[in-house]
Amino acid sequence: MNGKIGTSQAAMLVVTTILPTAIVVLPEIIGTYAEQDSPLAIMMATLLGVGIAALIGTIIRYNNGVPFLDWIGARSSPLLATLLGLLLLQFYLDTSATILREFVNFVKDTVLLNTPITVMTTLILVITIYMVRQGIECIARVNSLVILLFLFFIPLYTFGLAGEMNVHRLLPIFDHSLSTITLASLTPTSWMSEVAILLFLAPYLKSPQKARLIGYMGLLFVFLMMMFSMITTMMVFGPQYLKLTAYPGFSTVGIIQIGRFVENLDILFISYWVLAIYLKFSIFLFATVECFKQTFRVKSSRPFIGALGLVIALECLFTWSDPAKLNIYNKEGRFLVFILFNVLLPLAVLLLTGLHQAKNKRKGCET
Amino acid sequence: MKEQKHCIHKLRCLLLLPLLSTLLSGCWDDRELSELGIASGSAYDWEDNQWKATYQIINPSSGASGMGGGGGGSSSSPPFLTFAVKGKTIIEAIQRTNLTSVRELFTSHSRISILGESVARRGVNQIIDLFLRKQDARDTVYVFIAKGNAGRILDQLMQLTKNQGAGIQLMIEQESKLLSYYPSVRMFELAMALSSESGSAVIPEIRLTGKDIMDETSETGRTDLPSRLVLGRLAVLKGEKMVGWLSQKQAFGLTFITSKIKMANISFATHPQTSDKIDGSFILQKSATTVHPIWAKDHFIMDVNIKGSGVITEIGSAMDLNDRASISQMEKSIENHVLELIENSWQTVKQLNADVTGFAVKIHRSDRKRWKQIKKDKSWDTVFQQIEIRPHVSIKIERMGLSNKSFKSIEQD
Amino acid sequence: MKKKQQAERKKESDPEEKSIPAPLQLNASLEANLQEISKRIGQSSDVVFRRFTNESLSSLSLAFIYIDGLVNSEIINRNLLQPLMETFTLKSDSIATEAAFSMIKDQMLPVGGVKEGQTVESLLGLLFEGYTLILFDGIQRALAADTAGWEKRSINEPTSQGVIRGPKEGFTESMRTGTSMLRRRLKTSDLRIEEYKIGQRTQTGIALVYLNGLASESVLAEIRRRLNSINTDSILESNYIEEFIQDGGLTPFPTMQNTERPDAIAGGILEGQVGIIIDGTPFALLAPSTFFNFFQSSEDYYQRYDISSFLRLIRYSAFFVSMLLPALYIAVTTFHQEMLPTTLLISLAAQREGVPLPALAEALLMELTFDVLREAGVRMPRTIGPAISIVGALVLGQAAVQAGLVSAAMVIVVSFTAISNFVIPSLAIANSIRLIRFAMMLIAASLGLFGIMSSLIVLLIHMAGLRSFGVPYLSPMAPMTPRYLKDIFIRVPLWDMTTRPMTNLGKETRRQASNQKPKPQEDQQQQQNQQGGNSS
Repeated sequence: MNGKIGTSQAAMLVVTTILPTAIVVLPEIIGTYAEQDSPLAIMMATLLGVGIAALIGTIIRYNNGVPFLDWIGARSSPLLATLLGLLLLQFYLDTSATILREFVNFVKDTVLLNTPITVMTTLILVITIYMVRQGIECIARVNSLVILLFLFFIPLYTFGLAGEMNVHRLLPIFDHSLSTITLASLTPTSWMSEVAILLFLAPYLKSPQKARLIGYMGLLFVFLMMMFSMITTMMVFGPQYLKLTAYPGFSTVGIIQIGRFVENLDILFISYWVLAIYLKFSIFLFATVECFKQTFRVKSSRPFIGALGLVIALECLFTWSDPAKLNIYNKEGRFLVFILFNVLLPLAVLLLTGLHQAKNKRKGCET
Repeated sequence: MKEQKHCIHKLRCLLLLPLLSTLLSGCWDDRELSELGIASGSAYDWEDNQWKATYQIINPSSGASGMGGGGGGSSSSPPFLTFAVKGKTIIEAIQRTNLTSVRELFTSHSRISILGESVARRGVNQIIDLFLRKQDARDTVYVFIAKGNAGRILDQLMQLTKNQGAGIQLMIEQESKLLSYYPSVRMFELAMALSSESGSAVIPEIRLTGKDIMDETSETGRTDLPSRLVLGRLAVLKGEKMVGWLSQKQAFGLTFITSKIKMANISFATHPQTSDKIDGSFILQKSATTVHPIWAKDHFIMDVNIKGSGVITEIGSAMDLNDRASISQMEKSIENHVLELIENSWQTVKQLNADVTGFAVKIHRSDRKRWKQIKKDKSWDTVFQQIEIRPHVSIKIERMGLSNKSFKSIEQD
Repeated sequence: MKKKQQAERKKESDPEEKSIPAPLQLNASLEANLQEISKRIGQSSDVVFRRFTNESLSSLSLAFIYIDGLVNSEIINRNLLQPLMETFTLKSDSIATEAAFSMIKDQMLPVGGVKEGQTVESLLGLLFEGYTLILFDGIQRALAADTAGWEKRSINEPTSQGVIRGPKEGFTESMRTGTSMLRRRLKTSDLRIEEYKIGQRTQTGIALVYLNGLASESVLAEIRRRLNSINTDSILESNYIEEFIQDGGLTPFPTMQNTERPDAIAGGILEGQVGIIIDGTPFALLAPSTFFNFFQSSEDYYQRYDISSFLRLIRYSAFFVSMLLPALYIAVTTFHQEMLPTTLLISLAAQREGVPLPALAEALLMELTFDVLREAGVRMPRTIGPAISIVGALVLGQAAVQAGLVSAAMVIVVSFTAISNFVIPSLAIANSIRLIRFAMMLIAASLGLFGIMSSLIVLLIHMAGLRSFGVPYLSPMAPMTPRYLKDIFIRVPLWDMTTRPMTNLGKETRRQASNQKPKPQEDQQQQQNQQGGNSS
């Protein structure tokens, strides 16, 4: 059932991998540090992200769509592959759990205040497991449809807020020192580094050679959307007020008023966002399952999807039950972990194989 | 194999069953419409060291849906009911409404929020925080201040609309669209203003024209209510506390400085040289204000540039409008009038020492180094006191209406 | 484990195989053959046995067997009995039986289709199709002459899919009439009609109709494979075939279209689809079908493109309304009251004042009532139809509101939902969302819009995973192929539709020359001149 994913579809998958939680969590974190200079921070993060995408793309180009861990196993030792696999599995389980938690927290904060968290987690999990069982190709297809809906929501958003926007609220730029901006761009960089998920999607790509392009395209779109969201939010609220609200993007939507009839649109946008976050979570669950499959070299991953989902749900319910903990992780811990797994680890692998190749070449020359 | 698969399938179905049944049995967040007390407005007072929250709850069966129409529905029952409850915190007060009300309070459709002067003097932070935090509280409610007891205002019935909260919203929206005496202030705008560099905000006052409160449905049967709701002065907040009032005229000047004019009516003297008699009306249709801070060695000079254009609607003196000179003479008169408004307003603002003009923001935007220094020294208050404004007004009369000569000049002929 | 199951399966299937006897060869004796046949048929009153001897043919004994009602007795009388019973003088006095057989077959039967049969089973099969069997004494073969002619319904206007403009003829129950209607529309040698007989007891004729070269080979092979693997005793209607061969056994969505309209089938075939006509029902099938096919009506191409495009959009919105409106109403009025404009909220609240049921129960009640009414409307004798519809509309709608059982808004919602459901041209997909609607209402009542969105994503994923004979169900939207979108949400003018809209079907994607937009004469000439000038 698992088919191949086209290049533009894959780029859209990258968008969904990053954007849904980024657009909710990031503006407040960036805004707290950088205020009016937030767009600069996003730019910086995107530049770093592009570097990561280049790195990931190069690896995929080397292994040409062979499953990542299998490739490591073949290149070095199977033991190393398993070890790396276990680490990565832990990373993906953690990340999926935080995504699920962010999802649940947000829905609980904004829409369903009294619904028990267990019920919501279970429901989301069951649906996502179904999505993953349908295969990544289906996810990619639905994803492209959902992204198409931007064409409806962006004009609505812009039109609705046109009267509230004030360009002067973006001034003054360059108010903050480079170090502050760098600090502000750390967290978004960790989001951008999620482009590394391509490593696990590579076997399903139609043309793995274009992985770099996929990464760039995806990041470019994320960049545009983040800039759009950040700039419009600042134009409406100004940087100071931005820091006050937990979900600035949706607060801006809340003040949209078209005539006397269309108002309180936040629920509409939240509904749309729910679609996107479902896709994001399913992509991560898919990557987790894929990682599991490659680590333990199982042929069919289908029986394990449920089990892995359960682990994620339990972690979500019990490890991340404290929202403050999640916030601190997002602000501080996340960057280190993400850089480690999404950047340093692939980089090390790339260097290792490069060395290996060089050695082999030398050997080849000697003999 | 196949049977095993079948078994697994069945097992899975069995596992899904409890989820489905919990979903179906549990409606954790649903609120039936008939159990909702739809609040259309709220008021907060500080009395006896306690919060007093007053809520205006719409009575759906009285046909209060008609925003414009007065007809329909039984007129015997009041279109809304009010509840006033006290508590140590605002939420406690809100929750306590459940002691007296048969319906769960639902504030998402609340349109206005009236703060008693007592609250404003004490500080509004807690209320703003509530509106930002609470999920069903909208931060787009219009904020007003009432001298004395704010809850009283909510009791007043209105004519031409049954939903008083929505009626007051219409009032302020129309006012700021057609008259521009006061800016309309929504809760998030208040929060933005207070959290900005200036740290000051304004809130329009709402009051009753008469002494009595019209709170009986039979009383609205009269054509001319002895007591109506009216917008009064403009309260000035600094930090979170109210520091004073601006009169209507001063508020009008402030709207010029803060560039919030949408449309305004200016009465002026048509022949300023000969008489001070105010005998002309001008409708300002377009107006834009730009403010440029200039550092003059030891203090800031604010260069306030106002450009506007509009149409003459009323002339009480003899005047030939084909004459360019008489038009520029009138333009000059209007400009002077506006200048006077601004000066008057600025003096009071300076006295109150609250930067409702948003000069701090302007300075931050154009001169961030000096702003950093000011912020470091925490000297904004003194800097603000030293600010000098240089208003330049340029008003253009674009059209004269439908007649080219004033009626008085024809009569004289 | 596997072996055991295989053994079990064998056991299960064995007795069935035994029930079908080995074909029985004809006996040389006419008497024995007749006995065997009448034993097989039993004492059925409609089977006619007619025996006679012709002196001229060396006193050859003959027997006619046919089924009254399936044959045209005029043909039998004139073209079979008359030549065979006539006495005539032969060139030689006596003739061998074999020679007489071939002489009769080749010279004496003025009938189009004459077949030879050797086994009782094959002959019986022909007999049930309206053939007349001619059995000879002393010969182990028999002749079967095509004398079929039974009462048929004449071609009528299709009742389930009417059009304002367009052909008014519909398929009838006869497969042959159906294929002839297609032949008349597609006068090309590429039109292929493959016939199958499916159903052990019904032996229903099934015709696979496609254009050679346009229909994709893989789709054809898949359909053939699935048709051949049907093992059932009866096929009475096209839905039997549909359920046996369509993809995704457990999906609420249809993956094959059905229609009564020959022009719709012809249009589908011209776009590379395969038509399946089934004997005994006027409803023919079209496969493979994507989700969007169900929103296209053949009338779209018979009226101007602008209005067709508008109608398309109306249909898609009707689809969503029909699926989601009650659920949205429940979600908005019980969860997200802030979404409604205040005035609307207050008037809704005023209406719900005094309604005893919660919104969900109210909606379920009304929806079920409507479904009951609808079902009653189908079953009702035509004469009392108007009476019932008055009862339904007035009593259940108006009176229920006045009695305070339901709110007026709910009546509006339910009736609009119901009306919307009829906008969708294909009943198949309209019916599938009738069930989804209930699921949506339940989830909306427990989780609000979040629940609706959750079920929407499940639906989307499900549909993205569906395939109809290898074609993704949501194509050309997902996977997206922009150039095929010309006939999905809008219908572009015909002159602009240069390619066939169905994706990964067939090889000839181009169907007409481009640049056919009508232009005034001079412009064309000018353009040609310009082009000529450029090229020279």
